Amino acid sequence: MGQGEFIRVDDGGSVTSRLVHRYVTCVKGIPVLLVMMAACTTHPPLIEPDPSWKPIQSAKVLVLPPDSRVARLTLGGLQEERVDWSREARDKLQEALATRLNWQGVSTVPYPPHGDVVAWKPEDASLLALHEVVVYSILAAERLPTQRARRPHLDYSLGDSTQRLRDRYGADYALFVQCDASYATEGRIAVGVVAAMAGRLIDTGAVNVFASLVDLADGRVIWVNAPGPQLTLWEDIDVRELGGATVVANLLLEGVPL
Amino acid sequence: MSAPKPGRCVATWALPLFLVACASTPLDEAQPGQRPSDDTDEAGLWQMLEREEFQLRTSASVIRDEALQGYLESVLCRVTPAYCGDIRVYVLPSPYFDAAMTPNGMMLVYTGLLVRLENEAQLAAVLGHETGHYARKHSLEQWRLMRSRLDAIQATSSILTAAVTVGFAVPGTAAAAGSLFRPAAAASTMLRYSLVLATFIEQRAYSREQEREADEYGVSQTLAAGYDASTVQAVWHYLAKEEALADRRPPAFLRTHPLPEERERRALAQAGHERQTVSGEADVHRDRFLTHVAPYRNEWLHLARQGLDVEPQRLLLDRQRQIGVAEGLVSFHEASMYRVRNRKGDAERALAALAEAVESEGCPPAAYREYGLTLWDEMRTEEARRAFEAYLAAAPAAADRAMVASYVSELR
Repeated sequence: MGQGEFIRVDDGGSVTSRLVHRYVTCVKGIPVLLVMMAACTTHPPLIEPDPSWKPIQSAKVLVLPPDSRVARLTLGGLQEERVDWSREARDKLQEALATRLNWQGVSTVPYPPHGDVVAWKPEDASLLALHEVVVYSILAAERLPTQRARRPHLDYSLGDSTQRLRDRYGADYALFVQCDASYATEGRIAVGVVAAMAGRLIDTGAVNVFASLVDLADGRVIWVNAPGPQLTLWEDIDVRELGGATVVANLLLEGVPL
Repeated sequence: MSAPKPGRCVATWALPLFLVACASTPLDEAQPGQRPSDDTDEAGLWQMLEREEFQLRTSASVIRDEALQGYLESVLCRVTPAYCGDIRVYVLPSPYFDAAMTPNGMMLVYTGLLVRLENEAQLAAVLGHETGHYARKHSLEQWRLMRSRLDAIQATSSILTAAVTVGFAVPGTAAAAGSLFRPAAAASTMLRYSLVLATFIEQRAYSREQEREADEYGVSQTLAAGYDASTVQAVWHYLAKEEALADRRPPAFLRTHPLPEERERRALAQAGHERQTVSGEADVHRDRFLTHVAPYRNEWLHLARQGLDVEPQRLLLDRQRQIGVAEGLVSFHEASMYRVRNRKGDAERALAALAEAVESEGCPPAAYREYGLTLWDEMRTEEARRAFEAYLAAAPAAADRAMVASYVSELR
């Protein structure tokens, strides 16, 4: 992502773009671009298994439908959720995640096996809620400098109620994904460009995702990956499309220990 | 009286730029049994609140009691039959008089409200009021109002920022020379903050208008369901007094709800005016309501008192007497109120109230134990022992049985 691409966002005539260029390069452009690029870099996984850990031979992974909320970012900065976008993102991501694992030679089981709408079974819904709490604790704690240095990690587990999923779907591991994405309206993008000219960065939409791999035999959280926010001004990470979902799935599953 | 008057809108948004944002279209009433279509902002709001409801459904703070739940739902269905299937009621503990409705039909009823009501007609008016918010899609209206105002604020400040920035970048202009840059940037910031403040105040006014509409809806439905709605104004009458004593009276223009005095006046007028149109016997169903709240009243009163100073607490307890709550329970709470305050003379007041409680009907077992402890402090050991014995007799399965039994043997 160079300066050329940044200028491309501004659709104004040549005079405007010259002014923008002059302003961006001379005055405040460099820190702005640095911050933007920093936001796009990946981080190492928050939780990794011990080097001695080996996955089960020809393991099956249950790919849960990603908990997705996709919002329209209004000019004034409100995140207005869209039900249709959220559903598309959920389905496309679930498909892309499975494809990525299969490409790696890991076989997958989808949840639920049939149907379009995810009708969560009540007991699975409470497991999902538990997972969310555990992973939020991991996201908070494992980002602390004191914890990042600690090896081995603290042990995190959902408890053995995960065995129900193993028995029902015949899977060894489960992949949980949460996806929060927002896409700026045209007005918001214009406002973002003006703000960048003045040397300020405002939210113009981002994809925030994390994935966790859980051992269904004992509920242990084996691996958690939370790449930093991915800015959505560039269209290749539109999670509502299979292409964008694939980019995000590849980013998420980078280094999955399977 | 659904949309706010355009006059106020213009007054708040003096800048001509914003007039365009003030033109809001009134919404259609919610259709029973229907979800909004997936590609709308309304569906998005539902989705956000459904996630909240998912959390609430697994939350330990919700009071789950089939009898109470069934009763509240039956009143809801009686007062607003059309939306009976669209609304779920959750009872939550809180000291305050409050209830809430989300756009997706999740109704929250707080215990501080239930403990202050006298009868089912008042409950019906409250449930009807909350259903009014659902029927008239008030959350969606609020969301759209905020969205349009935030858009307008952001657009204005961006235009100003762009003007200042471009002026700064073009050589030869005053801004580039630096003389205008700072004042212009400061003015732009000031303008932005003023608009945010104006929006906040406008939002409050809008909210009060919605509350008036919901009040009217609630009373209407209550009358139509065959209740005697003339009792509704008594709720507002009481709340006005409690507010005054609690010294919690924010200025009217900052309130989300109209002043209770105004609500009292409106409820009275509406009930009087519309009563003629409803035929048949009207009732308030006092006993039915009190029976369902009775098992919880002690606990909920404890909680409600925690939100109040002594003067408003006394008002709350007087109201309990008016409602017809057993004297034993009310005196017990009176004693606890004085004991906690613990100023000069409060120990005697607490002792007198406890003496009254144990002699009266509806005295909770804990009152005997408190009475015993207070008497013991006064070195009235014989009476203290008798009080502890009465406690053990009244609450044979109490968790602190062994402890109180040890007091008895010590005092023998």
